[in-house]
Amino acid sequence: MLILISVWFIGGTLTILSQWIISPEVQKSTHDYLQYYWIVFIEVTSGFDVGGEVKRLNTLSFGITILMLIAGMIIGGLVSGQIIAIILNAAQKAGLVAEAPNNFKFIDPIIIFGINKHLHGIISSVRRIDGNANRDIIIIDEEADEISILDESDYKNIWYIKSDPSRRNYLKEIFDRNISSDFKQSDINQLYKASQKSCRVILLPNQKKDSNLEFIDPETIQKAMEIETFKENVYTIIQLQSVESKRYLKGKQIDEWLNISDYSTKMIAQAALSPGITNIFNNIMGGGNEDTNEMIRLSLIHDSLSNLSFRDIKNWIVNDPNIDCILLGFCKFLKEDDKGIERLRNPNYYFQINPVEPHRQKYYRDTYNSMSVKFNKDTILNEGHQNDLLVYFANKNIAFDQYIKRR
Amino acid sequence: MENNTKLANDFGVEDHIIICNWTKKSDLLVKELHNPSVEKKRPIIVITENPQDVPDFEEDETYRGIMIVKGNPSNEDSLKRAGIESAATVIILADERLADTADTKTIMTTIAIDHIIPDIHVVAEVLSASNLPFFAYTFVNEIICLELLTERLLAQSCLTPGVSFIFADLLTQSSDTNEIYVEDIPTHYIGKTFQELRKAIVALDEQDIILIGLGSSTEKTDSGGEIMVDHHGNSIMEKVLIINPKAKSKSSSTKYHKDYKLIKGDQVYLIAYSRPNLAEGLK
Repeated sequence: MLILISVWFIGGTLTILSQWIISPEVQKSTHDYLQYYWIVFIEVTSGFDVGGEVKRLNTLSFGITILMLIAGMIIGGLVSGQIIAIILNAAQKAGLVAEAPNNFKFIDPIIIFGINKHLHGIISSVRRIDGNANRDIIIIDEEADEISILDESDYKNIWYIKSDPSRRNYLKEIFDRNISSDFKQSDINQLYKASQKSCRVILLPNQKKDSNLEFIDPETIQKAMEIETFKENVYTIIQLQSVESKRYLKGKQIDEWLNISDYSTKMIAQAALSPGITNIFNNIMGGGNEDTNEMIRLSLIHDSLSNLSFRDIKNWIVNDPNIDCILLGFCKFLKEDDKGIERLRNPNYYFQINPVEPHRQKYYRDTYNSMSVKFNKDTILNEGHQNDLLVYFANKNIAFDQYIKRR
Repeated sequence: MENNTKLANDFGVEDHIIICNWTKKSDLLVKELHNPSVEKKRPIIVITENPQDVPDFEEDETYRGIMIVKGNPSNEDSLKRAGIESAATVIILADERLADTADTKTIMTTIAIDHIIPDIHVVAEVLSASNLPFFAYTFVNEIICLELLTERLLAQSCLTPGVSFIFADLLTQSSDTNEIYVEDIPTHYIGKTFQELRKAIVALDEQDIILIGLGSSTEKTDSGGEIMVDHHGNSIMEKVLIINPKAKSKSSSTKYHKDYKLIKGDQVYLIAYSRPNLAEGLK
């Protein structure tokens, strides 16, 4: 406010002085001079010229007017920013998530579409796994303005966008307005270079008590497909309620689907067959000790390891005691000829965990018609491209090239 | 269906698996437990109040050796009729008919089990993370919390795209997918380092095994770092799990590094396509 008053007073006085010294004949009375304070006030507070008055000004006053207009725009911006900050603070003080600033384009955010009982847990898990990254998370839902902040540290950079399903193309409008299409800056694109994916969208099913169970999954899938119709480069992850719903996903470009019932049942079976196994899964799924943070991670293969077989890379890693990771397998970029009918999620890549000996690969294929052993230990990685990834357990992402340079 | 329902004293089985409650996921559970790739298929006894929900399993190979006890699993008599004293494992599934109160029934069932045989291996499915503290008062060995599993899997898939596929591979019991196995240290590797064992396993090309970590027992310490003792003055031991032991460093005080010398009682965690035979392979 003090800046506004100072700029207004200085600007108005300078204009009056300039008019009085250079062109006094234009003003007929003292009242005409005092009017310049009003003109400058309008310019400074709105950033717009007062039409018609400009004809009375000499060159110097005209220059001062331009300066006042610029000052007006700056002050206008500052005031708007202050007002937004006050509103955000008020929202946060009320214990609610803040609204995403209008027309601000987020780069590579995580978008959570829908609200259910898992929302808060997902946010805290993302924060826990992601360390101090505090990446932007945007929650889109009809009731998104009612999301409360459960933990101040977890809820930094969390924004909501209230959706309006009654409006046609409301999703497209949101993405056009708030999500940057510059996928090159996205860290997901830095891994899956060939896929050109940018932000990640998690689609949560509507688990309200009055929801018809039969329609929950089709509704979630429909939303995912809707997003993909106008935004091909998003990485979509959907949570399915029923394993039966997987049939709806045929031919769709949805990157990952999770049927938790499926996973939990299999984990229960594993726990019954191998006592103690739950603890291991709990650890590698991000539920272990905060100091360890041991998880499955992916890294691009450095150029100097290109054209080597998985076996060669594995032997190199095991024999260097300073590389603190357990190599699990690789994620292979599929050329057009490599693509098959396998259960591919991201259609350009194939995850091969624990690649087998070539003769065992043949055995699995012949005996079980297996689709789990597409590649073997002698598969050459980064052959003719640089898109393949290593899959490993580690407590942080490893840049393997640092060990190569040292060697 | 009536023909399949027999009295517990007719079963005459031991070292079996008891499944408490029959739910939508029980079919997949049975198929996983009796998958052809499982070496030792244990008989299964299902305790359910609704035996009519169990499908007619006569034609299905995986349903062979399955018996039913009609009753409430939180009732001690039902558990005894299912031969709990001679069972290997009890699986308690969340009773989906009870919706939000299913966890209460699971807790009641664990208390009933603890009263009969506290040292049996119990796997419990829990719906809500807020109920987990109550299980600290029971002897449940393994808890699968659906709420936490959902949140962690979605968060991981988001930050490490594709990871759900890897977990699916590790969790699916079949001949051509990987599972995680817990194995004892081969006797001739006791006294050798974790790194030595790791290199030896990598050289075992024929078995396609990945050594991912180790389990050991260590003295339990309190928040001040003091060793905790029981009322006889003996150290209280606790199990530790170390995935991916690191290189020895001055900055870390952990004794479980790559050069940690394996001792009797330690176990290793392995990823393999079938249960590995380390002792034979590493001879």
